[in-house]
Amino acid sequence: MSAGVPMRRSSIREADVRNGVAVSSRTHTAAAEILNWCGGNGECLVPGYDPDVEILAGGTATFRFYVAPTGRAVRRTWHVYALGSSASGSITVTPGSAAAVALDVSYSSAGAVPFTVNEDLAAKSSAAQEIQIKIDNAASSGTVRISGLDCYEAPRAVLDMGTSDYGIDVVTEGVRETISSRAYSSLGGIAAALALATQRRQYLNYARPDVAASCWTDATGVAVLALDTVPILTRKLLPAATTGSVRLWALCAASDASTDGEVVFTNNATAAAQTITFTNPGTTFAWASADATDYPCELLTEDDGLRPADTFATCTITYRRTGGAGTFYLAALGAYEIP
Amino acid sequence: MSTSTRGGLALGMPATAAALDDRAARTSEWMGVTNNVNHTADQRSRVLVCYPARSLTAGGLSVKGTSASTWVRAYSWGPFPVLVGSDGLPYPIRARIGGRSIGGATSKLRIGVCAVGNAPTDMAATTAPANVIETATFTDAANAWRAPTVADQLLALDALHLSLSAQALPIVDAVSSASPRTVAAAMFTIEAYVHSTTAASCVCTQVYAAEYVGTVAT
Repeated sequence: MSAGVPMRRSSIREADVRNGVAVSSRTHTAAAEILNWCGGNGECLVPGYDPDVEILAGGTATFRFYVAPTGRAVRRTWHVYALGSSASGSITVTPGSAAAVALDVSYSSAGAVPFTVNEDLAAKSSAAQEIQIKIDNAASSGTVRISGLDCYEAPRAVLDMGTSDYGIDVVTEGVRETISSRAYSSLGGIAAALALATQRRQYLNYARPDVAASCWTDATGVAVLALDTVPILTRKLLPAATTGSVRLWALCAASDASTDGEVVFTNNATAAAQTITFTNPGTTFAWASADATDYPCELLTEDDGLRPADTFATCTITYRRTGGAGTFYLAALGAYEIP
Repeated sequence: MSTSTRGGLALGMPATAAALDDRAARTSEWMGVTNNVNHTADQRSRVLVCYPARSLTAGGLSVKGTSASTWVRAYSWGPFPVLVGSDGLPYPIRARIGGRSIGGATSKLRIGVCAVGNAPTDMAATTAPANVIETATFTDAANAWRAPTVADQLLALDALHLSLSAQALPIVDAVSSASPRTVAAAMFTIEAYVHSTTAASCVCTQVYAAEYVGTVAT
């Protein structure tokens, strides 16, 4: 028995399913293979971005992200694109609770490549959660500019046939095999795996270090631009859908116990805004979220999926202090799909 | 190309094994399942890069000590294991890039999805290949998404790209680093390159790339 994850997905011919004709193993097997393919390929948890952060010699930067994992991943793969600002350098990268990895940093972008650092997980989880990566610059190093970060869930080779992975046994789906009613090889197993195959697409994860000197700050009360025209085009779930739902996240703190602030996500397609309010957040960074239901979804009849045609749907994110006399801090922004 | 017939999920499908246990499935149930399996796989696509501008006039990455009128790398993300469709080709990538010019220099940008090791060749080619989008030239100093020189902002990857990118990716297949093994994967990087008539005068400030499968053949 096996629930192997193919590199290439299959497709089912819906025309093969007809009244009065037995469903063939070709249909059965393709369904099992596709669902194993869906389950075995992970989500891109941190779409690539440029934190635009310099770490001085002997300094540390921790980047925190809020993600919605698929629940089947056992390894996260991080990439760090670092450049020496004025000379080459050396950094130590620690993803989550994994072991630290030492890396040499090039001065020239022509000679630089993104570093790959793996984070093996102790448990599978589909719970929305924070993940983080810490980068230490050696005391003897030059200043290092972190110019790129991304993270994806590494693909799986074989899924377990159980309630953790919902892998489908493709061997017993084969020609001349009896159709078993067991939970991981029957149509029931396919239906159960299908119900859990939809991942939550991560649209944005943009983190700056969670310290006052490196994050976004405001002490004036006037709205400040955080991110301009962020492309967010949601997945098309239902045939008549024109919009999708998004959960928006912000990681904020303040310089004292009585300073308030807010982060505003404005959907440029509708001009509607979602506000995340932080009332007396205190000096410890904490996450808060708001939901939006009106972000345009992909238009499948368009070559590039843009809705409306040839126009990128975007949002613009601003922040400001709304109360108190201190400084309001914003360290990270995120957005992922709500199924 | 999209493989579902209804262009979306059919509602009301059984969601547990127990719901179909010990009875014959209806044809309508099987048809709904086949549509939903195909649509779920079509829409499995992911956002690989989402790097918006942090400012209207500042930020981004210019490139140190570069020559004028040559293509130079600003960013590289990945490599990512790109999804491979039922046609045997990687899912197309919807892509977009933007930036600003310094001192009014005539500038342009390229975004591409490249097999590992192929970026210098693909991105600096005289004519942008199918896996690279080039923007129109610009001279203004404001950060902005730049219009492409092609009608659709979609990067197509063919069988040659797939063959160049395919590799055995080392993974583990259980928690806590257990079961080391490999998995076949098509590994691509997302590349952003800058070009200016004056050295180091083009700044890349924003990049976006996402897998996409629609109903139009690419």
